[in-house]
Amino acid sequence: MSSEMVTGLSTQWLPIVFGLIYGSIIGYKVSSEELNRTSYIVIFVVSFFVAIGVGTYPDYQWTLFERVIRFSEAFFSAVIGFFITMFIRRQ
Amino acid sequence: MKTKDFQEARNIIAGISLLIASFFIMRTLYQFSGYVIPGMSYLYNLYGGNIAPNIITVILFDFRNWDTLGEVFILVTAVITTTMVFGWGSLKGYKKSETPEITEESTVLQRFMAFPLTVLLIGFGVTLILGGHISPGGGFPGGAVLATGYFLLVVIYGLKKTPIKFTHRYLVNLSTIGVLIFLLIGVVGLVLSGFYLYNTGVDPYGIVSIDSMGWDTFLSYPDPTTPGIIPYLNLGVSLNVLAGLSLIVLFLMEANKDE
Repeated sequence: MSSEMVTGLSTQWLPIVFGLIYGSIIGYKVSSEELNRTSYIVIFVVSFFVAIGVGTYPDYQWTLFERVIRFSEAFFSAVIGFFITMFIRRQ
Repeated sequence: MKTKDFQEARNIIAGISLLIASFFIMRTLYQFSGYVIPGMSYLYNLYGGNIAPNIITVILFDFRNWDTLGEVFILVTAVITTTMVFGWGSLKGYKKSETPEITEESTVLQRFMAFPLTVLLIGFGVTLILGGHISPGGGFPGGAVLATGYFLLVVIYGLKKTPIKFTHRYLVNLSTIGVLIFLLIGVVGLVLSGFYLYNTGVDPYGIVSIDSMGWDTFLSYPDPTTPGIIPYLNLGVSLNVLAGLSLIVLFLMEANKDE
């Protein structure tokens, strides 16, 4: 983990918490067995790239090939929170 | 005289009345320009940069937060009105052969793409909400995007087979929690500074003194842009908007189910 990421995690932990809570609030009400489970991993990968696409200034950043890449932690944590509560409810 | 003649005379009288009223309104507006003092504009420019870089958000939430509170109550009023007009559908039960008509019209591609798209919309809505203090967005648009995700599912899968099954009580609870977050943060500002909805997380006027309790600022947001209470207010508004718009969608769809 680079030093930029460590600094970001130490100062910007609240968007992750709020994203998880928000995703949980909506994912808590998911109850359907008709959905294709193999598509979940596709959604995960796509949401990772979309999170990079919508990242703006205060979000986490790291330098890759001399380019600054910003990652929207709120986006990705909301998706993770959604899936976590959805799987817990299905158990 | 015929009826037509009366109508023509009435039109002439109405036209003259409109001219007289327009004259006085324009004259009042012209004189009113002398009383406008651009003081608040100076305040925006002076203190706005200390609170959040997005000046629109600063104006909306930090100087005109009553305006946002009014929007929230307008939404509540809209939900109540929709409930009164279309809420009778929720009192009826499902028929045995009930499948909402729209579900049968949706294609395979729509059913395949609706749920993944909704997951991405939820992430995007949360991004808008939590980034509202620095980038375009905020609680209202973010909550509307979240409700759009639910609306998409309801339209494509139908009310009975939708993957996200919001209940009335759950949405009412969410809406109440959202409004309470907004109001209680305002009370915190009132208690600590004497001003309702004062930004205690930034304290731009330096009137909050809670050093004895071990805090420099109360309700500050861990962010390099130091927006203070604005993200929390965004959260409250977005919860209310998500629940309110979803309730409207729910009632409109339920009103259709037994017809």
